[in-house]
Amino acid sequence: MSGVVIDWYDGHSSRARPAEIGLDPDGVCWLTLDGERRYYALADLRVSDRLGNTMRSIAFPDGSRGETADNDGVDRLLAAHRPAASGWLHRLESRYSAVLAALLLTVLATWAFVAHGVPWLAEQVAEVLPASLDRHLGEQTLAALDEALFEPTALDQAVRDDYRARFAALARGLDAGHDYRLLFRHSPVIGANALALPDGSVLLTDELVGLAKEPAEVEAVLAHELGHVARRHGLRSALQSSLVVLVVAAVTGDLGSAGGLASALPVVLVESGYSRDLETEADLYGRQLMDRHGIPRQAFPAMLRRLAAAAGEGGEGHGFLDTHPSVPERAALFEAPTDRPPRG
Amino acid sequence: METSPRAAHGFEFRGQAGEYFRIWIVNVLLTVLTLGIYSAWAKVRTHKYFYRNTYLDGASFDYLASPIQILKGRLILAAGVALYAGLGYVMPLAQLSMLLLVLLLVPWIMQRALRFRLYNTGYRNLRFHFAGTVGQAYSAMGRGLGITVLTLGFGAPWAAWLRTKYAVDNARYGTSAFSMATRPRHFFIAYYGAFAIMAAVVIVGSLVLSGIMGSVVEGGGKPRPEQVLLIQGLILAIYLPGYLFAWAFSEVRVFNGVINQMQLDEHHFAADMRTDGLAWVAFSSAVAIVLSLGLLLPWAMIRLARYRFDHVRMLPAGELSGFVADQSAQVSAAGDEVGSYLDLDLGL
Repeated sequence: MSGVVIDWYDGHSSRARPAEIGLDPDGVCWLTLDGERRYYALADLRVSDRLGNTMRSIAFPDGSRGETADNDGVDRLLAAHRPAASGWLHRLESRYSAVLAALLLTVLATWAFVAHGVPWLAEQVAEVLPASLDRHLGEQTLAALDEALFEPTALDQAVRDDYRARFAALARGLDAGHDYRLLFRHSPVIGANALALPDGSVLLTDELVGLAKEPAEVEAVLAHELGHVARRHGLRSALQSSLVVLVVAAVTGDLGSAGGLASALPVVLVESGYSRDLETEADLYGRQLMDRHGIPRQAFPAMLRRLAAAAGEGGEGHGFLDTHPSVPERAALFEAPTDRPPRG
Repeated sequence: METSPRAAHGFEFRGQAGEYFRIWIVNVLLTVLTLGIYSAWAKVRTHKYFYRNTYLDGASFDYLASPIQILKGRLILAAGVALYAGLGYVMPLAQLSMLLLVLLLVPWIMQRALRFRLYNTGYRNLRFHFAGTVGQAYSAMGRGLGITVLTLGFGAPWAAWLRTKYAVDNARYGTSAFSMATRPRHFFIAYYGAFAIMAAVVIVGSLVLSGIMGSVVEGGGKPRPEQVLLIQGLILAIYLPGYLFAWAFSEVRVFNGVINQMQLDEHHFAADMRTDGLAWVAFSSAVAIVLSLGLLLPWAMIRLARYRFDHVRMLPAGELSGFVADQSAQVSAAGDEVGSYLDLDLGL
């Protein structure tokens, strides 16, 4: 059997010397250098894996090394003595059909992980984390919000007491892990709005109270916000964002700054998708709570439309970048004919 | 052997976009399927592909790091990032002190990264290595920080020069030493020039944009969605090329400035990259990457490497076969991983 011509480097200097290697039928490797023959056991040689059409290296146990561009020659030498399984990476990389399958599988696996794996993982992790973490997160967020967005409320004490009583009734018997309380704030910046903090605090702006035509509409909003708290959406969305960043870093990790531009958009898209899912979950939770307390379902979509009108949106349109599902979509959850009696 | 000056050896990059695309997509797939574990193997395969396709005088470079080393580095890094993120929720103050600690470690990280990178670079069965000490790293970066602070930031190019000089002067190939005679002047021209270009782009850009936005607002009421999109598109169309041109300007000045004044023993090097050429490669690549949803990224990486190596030559003083090996210790991958995460790579 003929050998393969290599450049031989002794490992002590950068001088290249022409040499030839080959394998005897019994698996002993010979190296011919300057007309002299040396013998090695095949198991003692480290032959680099094939990688595209790049040079292969054959490392000898004495620190010397052969290099050659004759990839097929090296494969031919090894073929008789190596299990067929080695080199599977190169076979995968050299077939366009395999590459196409890899492309599809990558997209599918990424999608499955991002769409189902990440929310599921975040939920499991949130379950394990102690409630004290929620309290901590809530306190910090409230301090930051008060600084940036809010001013003290201007509502009458009587109005506040009335809503506090309604809130307490809604929150009674939910879960013991949270310390539910209702806070009022005036906010020229964000206008009519309500927010749930992870520790159980629900913030209601004066503007939202003023916008509602009847107390049931405010109660509907409170039920939705309680859904955010009870299902621990604050913690879960924080976990989800961290996981997505990790996924993106894992996929684009080797790509350096070139990936930065291309990876920013998917992160934004994915996170607004998560946000919409959590909103829907809170809507469903709120609907159940409203049913339990005999609050007409109508109140929630009515309030949504008022809020949309106040914000100057038609309520139509459903962009990928929206953090909430569209108003008609959400209203449909409450206005669809009930095919089963509300659960109590 | 003769010692008379010989013909220049051009660096040559032989990577092929189609071939690398297939390697890249298999890397991405296996990384996703193994939840990131394979990324260490992917990194070795990627680096090996680029090093192995870089030729000088008929021989190609080699990347010698082992995936397990890199995996260990990545696990340490991931633990650090998780700890940092966790602290943010529980004890923000501890997070701040951790950040300070990491900042204090930056020179150490840089030294480790350089050591790892060079030690794992081979050529003709000899390793490169890095002889710079941790103390020298602290001295170089400490002086750089001092100059930057005392000059209210105007001396920042000097700090970059100190870092680069530390990196180049301590690089070795076998027993042969690299040295750099580049003056800080080159870095000042590179950084101030890039700043001036960016400032000009921002001024002209905001004049153009305010004119357009003025006419939109005069139209009355809220801008329509398509108008918002148009303005966002214009912002990108003006600032992205402007930014990339400024980046290319400083990159070319630094790269040429360093390479042209660099020596390996008696051997010299020459680089002649051009701002317009590099800016065009970067800009057209960025557009292609975005339009192809990232699929043209491998093509862009090959193109950039080819552009770079097409513009570097070695001017040997004699045969390239006279280099001699040196003994070096095994180095851990942790520094390299943390280094590339913090973008401390000096691109050498």
